[in-house]
Amino acid sequence: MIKITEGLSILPLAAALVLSQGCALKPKPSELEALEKLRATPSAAAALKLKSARAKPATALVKSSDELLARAQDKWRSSDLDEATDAALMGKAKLMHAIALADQDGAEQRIRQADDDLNDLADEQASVQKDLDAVNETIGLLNQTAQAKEEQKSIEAQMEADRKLAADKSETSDKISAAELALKTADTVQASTYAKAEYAAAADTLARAQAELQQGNFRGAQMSADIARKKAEEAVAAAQPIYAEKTKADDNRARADTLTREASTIAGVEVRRDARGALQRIVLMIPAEQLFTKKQSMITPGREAMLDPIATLMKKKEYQNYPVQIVGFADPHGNPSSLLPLTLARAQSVQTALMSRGVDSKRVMAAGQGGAEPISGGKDRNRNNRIEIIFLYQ
Amino acid sequence: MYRYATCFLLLATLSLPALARAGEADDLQRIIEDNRQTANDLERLDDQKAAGMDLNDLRTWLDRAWNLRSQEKYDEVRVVTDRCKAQADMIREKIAAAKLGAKAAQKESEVAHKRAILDRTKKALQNAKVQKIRLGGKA
Repeated sequence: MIKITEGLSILPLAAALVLSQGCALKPKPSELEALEKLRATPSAAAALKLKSARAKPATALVKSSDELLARAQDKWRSSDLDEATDAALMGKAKLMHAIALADQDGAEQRIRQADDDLNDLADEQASVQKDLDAVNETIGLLNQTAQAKEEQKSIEAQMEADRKLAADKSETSDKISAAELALKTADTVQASTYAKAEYAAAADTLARAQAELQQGNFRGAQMSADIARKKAEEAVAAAQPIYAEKTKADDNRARADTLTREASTIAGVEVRRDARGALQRIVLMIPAEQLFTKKQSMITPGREAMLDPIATLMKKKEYQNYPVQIVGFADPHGNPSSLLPLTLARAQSVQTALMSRGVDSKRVMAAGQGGAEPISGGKDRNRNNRIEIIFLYQ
Repeated sequence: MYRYATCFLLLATLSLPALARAGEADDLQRIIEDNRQTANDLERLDDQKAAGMDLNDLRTWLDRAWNLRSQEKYDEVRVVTDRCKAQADMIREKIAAAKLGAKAAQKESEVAHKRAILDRTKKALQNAKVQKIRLGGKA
């Protein structure tokens, strides 16, 4: 009994299960799901918003696809899965067709936009390029100008350097010339002899200056030339007094030689040269008998003529500076007290005679030596009576 | 005589559906082969490789259509061949869209290139102006 009751209570449940199994919706085909998803995409929506010639076919395709979608859903709901799948696949093909048309529209729009952009860019590029070309041309000109200025500066700098070089060279040459001149001046006073050290130093330094000039070392050459000139001047300063003295002595000697030679040509005059200390003497010895009568102090008339060439000689320009002594001598064999006045008087007589012939009185000094300084003895004692006209020099 | 005519008509009546079915099979075969040729042509056109999957689907469906034809399920064959035609039309337009898209991309690339050149030219112009001023030229 219990079993029968239990069997009766299960029966409605089983019936309900059978009914529910018969009316249950079958799983949706994947093709239908794919179509539904595709339809929900923005691409599908965009296919309905076209504005080109493709708008009409695209709209028709979407519409057809929508109808197929609805049909597929109906067929699915009525459990006709094959029909549902066929409709979904066809709907998907049509919808994808419409989307492809929309994609074409979009691509064409992008192409048009790109073409417009290219045109705009080409215009702008041309404009900017034109500006750039103009600026570059200006830069080129400015560069040329700057380059020309640089070249000008370079040339001026080179010229300045050349000028300075020439000036340095000229200044160096001048200094070397000055040193050479100083050295030649030193040569004129025979500094090589009288100031050997200074002269040698000057010559060596000058040679060094010339070598430095050849090497282009102008500064060194100038310094060496200055030193050489200074050394040469020192050599001149050192040698000059010695040279002057030597020259003067030589001149005096030469003049004395000439005077001696000329005096020797005078008839009746004996000439000799001697020295008394630093004084040099040219002595014209005239025997007293040629001018004076024995023991007389006045020149015998007619004998004064022999004094003419002596006066002429004394008045010669080159001998005018010679101081002259006129000294009377006598033979010492006599009364010494009378000899001195006699010899003085005779000397004065000759002095007077010479002065009367134009000899400057300031140059002439008369003196009597009496019997001093005899020059002979024996038979020639008479030679001690004499007048000596003495030219003095140093 | 009448009897012969009656037999002939009877035979003809009996053979007409068979003849009609044979003609439909040939027609479907031609449609399927045309579609295969179309698929091959589309594949050659698809230089952007934009419709590879769709072409696979197309070929799968054509094989199915051929099988259905072999089973003489002609109505189902027509359903599939109609879908293949729609698929082929879609693929054609998809290839065209891909070609246009590639052309657009090429143009956009060209635009980008030209824009880069323009930017460089503008920068060069700016630099040139600065150089010009530095050389003593007017701004």
